[in-house]
Amino acid sequence: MNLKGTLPLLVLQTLAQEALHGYAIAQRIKARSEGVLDFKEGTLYPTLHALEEGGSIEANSVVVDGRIRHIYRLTDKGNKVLEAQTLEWGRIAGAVNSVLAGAR
Amino acid sequence: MSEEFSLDTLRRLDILNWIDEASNGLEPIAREKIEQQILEHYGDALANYRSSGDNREIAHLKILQDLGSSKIARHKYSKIYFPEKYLESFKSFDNLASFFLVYSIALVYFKIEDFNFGYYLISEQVDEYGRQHFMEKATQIFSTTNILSTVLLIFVISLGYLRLRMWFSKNHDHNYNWRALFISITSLIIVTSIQIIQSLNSVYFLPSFLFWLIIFSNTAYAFMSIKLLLQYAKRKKLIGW
Repeated sequence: MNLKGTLPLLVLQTLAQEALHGYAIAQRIKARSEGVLDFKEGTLYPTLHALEEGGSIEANSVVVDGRIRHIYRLTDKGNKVLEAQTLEWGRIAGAVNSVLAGAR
Repeated sequence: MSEEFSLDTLRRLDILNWIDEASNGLEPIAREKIEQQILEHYGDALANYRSSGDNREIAHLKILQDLGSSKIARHKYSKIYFPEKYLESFKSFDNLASFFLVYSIALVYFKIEDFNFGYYLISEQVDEYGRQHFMEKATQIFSTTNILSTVLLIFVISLGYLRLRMWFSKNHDHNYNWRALFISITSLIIVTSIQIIQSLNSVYFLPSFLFWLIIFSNTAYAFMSIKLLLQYAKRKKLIGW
């Protein structure tokens, strides 16, 4: 399932647990949702760049085994954005569930 | 060995082609960052698929499938980064702005020196002789003041302008093009120097000719730049109409 517009929220939540590089973020989201939430990995990086530009996450370049890795971590601003977006998502999900419950 | 090498080359071309399409037209620093990250991603994904038992070819195809459309990625990147064509226009606009900066010093000085005449000129209440007189005075400011204070004035204003550009660059998170800056500052120095030399020799034609030459060579780009910057601001939702 591809839920348009939810990728930034999923990225923020994933990075709230620990700092990760791009590929690990993609794998973590897919694993946590048990493959239900699928997205093209090519769109993950623009999302990461947009979050970085907005100051919600920051990237550090580190050398691991001779390779440069871009490790992302959540910022204080990102924490606040995550809280706000989680509340908003809860409100939307609740509303959708209410409508679906009424339809049965 | 040779066949494996050829296949590796083809796979590398595949992924480089994906990167090229995804970052096409973006500013150089963005392209470099995207290339680094996608190659890093490719390396991780390849190791992951290989450890699951896939051969190189299958792993490669799976990675490309996982990445999805490069055109969609390009569309998303273009919302974040300053596209190169915008940057080019911005540079032209910037050159024009730096030129006006120098010329405006002359005009402001002239207005201070002879406020009433400046008022008549703006009100178009002067004849051709008056206009020439204005241009001469406006372009001779450097001969009427102490050279050291003029150089300091230019230096302080240029430094302020430089700081403003650096602030703009930092706060908009796009590549600060040092080559463009070099061109701008060089034109600033050359035009200023010509004005100083001209003022000492009192030659009227040269600064006027340079003035119009630079105006004409940059105006079209400046208008295009304003249009593109407005479009960009609209897309970024900085302005809304």
